[in-house]
Amino acid sequence: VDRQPAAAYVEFRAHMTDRPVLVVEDDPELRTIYQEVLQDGGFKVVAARDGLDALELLNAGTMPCVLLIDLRMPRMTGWEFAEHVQSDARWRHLPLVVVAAYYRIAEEAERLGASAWLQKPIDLGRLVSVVEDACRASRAAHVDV
Amino acid sequence: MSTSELDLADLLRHVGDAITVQAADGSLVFANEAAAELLGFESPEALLASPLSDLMSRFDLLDADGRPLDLGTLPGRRVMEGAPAAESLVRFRLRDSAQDQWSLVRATRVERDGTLRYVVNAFQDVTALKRREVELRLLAEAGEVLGRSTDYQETLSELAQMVIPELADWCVVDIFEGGTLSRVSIAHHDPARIALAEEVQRRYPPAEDSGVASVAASGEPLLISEVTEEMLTSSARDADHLAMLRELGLRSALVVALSARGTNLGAMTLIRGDGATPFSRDDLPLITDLARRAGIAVDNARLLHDATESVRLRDDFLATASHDMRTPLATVLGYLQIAQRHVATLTEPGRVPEFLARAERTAVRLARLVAELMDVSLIRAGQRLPLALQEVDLVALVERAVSEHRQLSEHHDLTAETSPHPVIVNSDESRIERILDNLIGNAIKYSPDRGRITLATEMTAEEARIRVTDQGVGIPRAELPTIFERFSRASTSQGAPGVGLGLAGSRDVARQLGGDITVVSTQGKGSTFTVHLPRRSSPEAEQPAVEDAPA
Repeated sequence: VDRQPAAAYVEFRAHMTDRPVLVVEDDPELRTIYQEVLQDGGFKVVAARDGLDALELLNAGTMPCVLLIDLRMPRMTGWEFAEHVQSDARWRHLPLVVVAAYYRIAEEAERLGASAWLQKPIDLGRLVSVVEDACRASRAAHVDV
Repeated sequence: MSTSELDLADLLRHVGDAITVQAADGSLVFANEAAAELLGFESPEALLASPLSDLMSRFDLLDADGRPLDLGTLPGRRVMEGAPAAESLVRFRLRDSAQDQWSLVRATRVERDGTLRYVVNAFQDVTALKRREVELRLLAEAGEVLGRSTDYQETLSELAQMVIPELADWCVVDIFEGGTLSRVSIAHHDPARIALAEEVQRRYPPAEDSGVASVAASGEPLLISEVTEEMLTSSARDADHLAMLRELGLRSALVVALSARGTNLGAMTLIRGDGATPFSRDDLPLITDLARRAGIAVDNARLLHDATESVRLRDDFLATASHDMRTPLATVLGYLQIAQRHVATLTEPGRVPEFLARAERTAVRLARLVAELMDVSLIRAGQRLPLALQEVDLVALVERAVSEHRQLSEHHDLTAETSPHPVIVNSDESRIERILDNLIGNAIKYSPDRGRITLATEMTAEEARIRVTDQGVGIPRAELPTIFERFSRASTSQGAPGVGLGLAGSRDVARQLGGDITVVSTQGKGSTFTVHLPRRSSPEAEQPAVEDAPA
């Protein structure tokens, strides 16, 4: 059994651990799972149970490398949260990854300008690679700015 | 005159077609019985004795399209001016009766030694043919119009426009919408008249037992050949009303019902004004046929709408159902994938049992959701749920529900205040669990963070009760009577409603268990939902909670 992560993976991890992934998901079990898997993949994770909590975290100064959002959530949906984020110059550049059960997820993700989407139930390996890609792009964009 | 000529004149007198003979100067020298009748005279003699000015004042001549005819184009005139023969279709409208007669008029020149002697005019009555032609064209057009759109209000408006002025001066269509008759279209060639009619309708709404309403209700046609002054006076509510009714110029009316598949859908009212032929029984077949076609069109449009709507509802339900199942499925698969990874990489194999336990717990939740989905579908179809009755300890059930929800909602303070003794009922455990899941879920949804939610059990002589009390937003007094209605949740909660039982479904299930759900709520302070269950459930004796349970 190969217990060593790939070399590229280690290198990536070294670059990326400074900014967390902001997970916005109302299902507590799924929050736990995303957290577990992303941390295992070398990311810091900050989790919020809906758009309102996530917005609070951003306002409090959390600067994530990627926003991983569900769509249907109580209090503030993923759609509303995305709208808030995109109307604010501080967060507009943050890549959006939509992970939802919503059956029109492809259209909605495109409409929200998401860099990627995954429909539940998801493959956790895909989740890590999608977040990696988005994070890398985010970092490149951030360096350019 | 020779004998043979006399015979001929006698013969002509009794021919069915109208025949007249004009001398070279245009004066009438012969007319038969039919000609006298056509032109409104008692006998050929009276016709022949009448001066031309009197003759021409008795009727109007119209062309095939209903426009006043230029007398110079009459076949007799054309022949008089040199044509060997001429023919045209002419409508005679007698001024006394306003009856139209269509005639195919043929004029022939009779010469002797190259000089014009007579012009013979033969009038073939083609009224029945023409009427049939108009009817067929109208019915064909109606079929076309009615088949054009599935928006029946639009098609009925077009139909109303189409029948004027051919069949009537006014066409009004009223359709039952939600049990009351509402006007979907009104047509008249003059918009000012329509405005006047609408004002009358607005200021003096028709009584429940108006002619139109009774036709729409009974399906029997109503023929008013002549709208008399007395009728206007007796139906007017005041002088203004009477003046307006008079101004509308209603002279004759025919009201027929629109129906389809044995159900009356509304009524079509045709009205003719001054100068038009009054309606008679002869008009009934055509108008009834039109109304029948219109009724079928309305019915089809409604059926299509209903079918489309139920397909849409089903699609929504399926979309939401698949959404609601994907989330727990994601959890189950998530834990299994993490467990697999830990087994494969041996990073933290000690945690694998925890992940498997979580996956199992969620799979159980998913299985419950699937069962609930089935119940919702049975309830929507108005069917009884297949119950699995057994002894159930409500205390144990409530404690289990509280501990499950505690794990899922770290933001709320869930407490069980149960009696120290078991509270046993004979009921369906999984159904009670689902009702509680819904009530707890609602309590969580409408409570602020750290809000306290308490579940309590109670046993009386007649029944067992489970109370779910929250300190949430509460329910406004005005909304209390409707919160158990289906879909009422959709308008108040954020986002789309799930496919779960909801409050309506929960109460349906409680009733099928022989119990009920009641609520007490104070806005701003919180709500208490109480599930009532009979100590011994005997659902066979209960009326189903739904209206149309199958036999």
